[in-house]
Amino acid sequence: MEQSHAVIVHRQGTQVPAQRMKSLPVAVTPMADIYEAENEYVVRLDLPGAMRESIRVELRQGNLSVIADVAALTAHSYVVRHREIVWNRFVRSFNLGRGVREAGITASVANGVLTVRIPKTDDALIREIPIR
Amino acid sequence: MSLIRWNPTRDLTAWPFEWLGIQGEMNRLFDTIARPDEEPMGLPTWTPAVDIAERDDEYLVRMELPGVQKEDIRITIENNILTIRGEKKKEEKISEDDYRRVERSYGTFLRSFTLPIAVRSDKIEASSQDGIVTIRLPKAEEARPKQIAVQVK
Repeated sequence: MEQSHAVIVHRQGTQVPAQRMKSLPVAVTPMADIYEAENEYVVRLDLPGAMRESIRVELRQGNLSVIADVAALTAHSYVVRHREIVWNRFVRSFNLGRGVREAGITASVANGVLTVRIPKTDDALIREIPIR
Repeated sequence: MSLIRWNPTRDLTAWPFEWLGIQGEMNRLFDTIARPDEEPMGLPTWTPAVDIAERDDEYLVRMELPGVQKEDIRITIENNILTIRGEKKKEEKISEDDYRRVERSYGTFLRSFTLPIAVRSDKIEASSQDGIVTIRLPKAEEARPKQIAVQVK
């Protein structure tokens, strides 16, 4: 798995690697919002700087994973004076659980935000039973 | 060099904390409990991460602003102080009950930076791509490094 080949840092944490290894990606967990609509779940992930073509959304045995690479921050002619964006990869995965239609999952990206729409199966929809 | 302006909210809510150490982390933890996620006295609610780079002729500032609309970002320069402020709004109106997880930051943000040397405020350019806002600030002619040929006699 890609994840095991990366140095994991936490956005809110203290584990910024003292020495950035050149060959290894420095991965961070992107922040996510999840909400439930009537017939789908919507996952939104902040992936600032992620290169469109590098974003991979994978489904494996009920596990949805997202991997994306961040574009190199500056060209070589620049000297970095202050750095807070220390990661160059986003990695996150979610267990989908039951009641979702895996074949119907769609993903789109706009303005650095990845939106994954996960439709519910018919039997997971709320059905109102009329009282006679 | 005074590139980063002191910000009173920084040690409470800002990243990075590594220089605060364990003590700072604990303080931050208790501060967050004492102060729920509301907007106290109109202070910014989140602090986007920033990289600053420099070359001979310009400064380059890059800020992570995923999901923030262009029209909600204001970039100003005054007395060589660069200020980036704005607001991140939710994509759509969703009832609180329907959220299963909310980790992304919303609300107003403000960061300012004192540039150590003069820049040409009329030539500053900003662009936005993939959730990153890039600002290019050309250095004033007199502030650029110059090569002076020394005649050896």
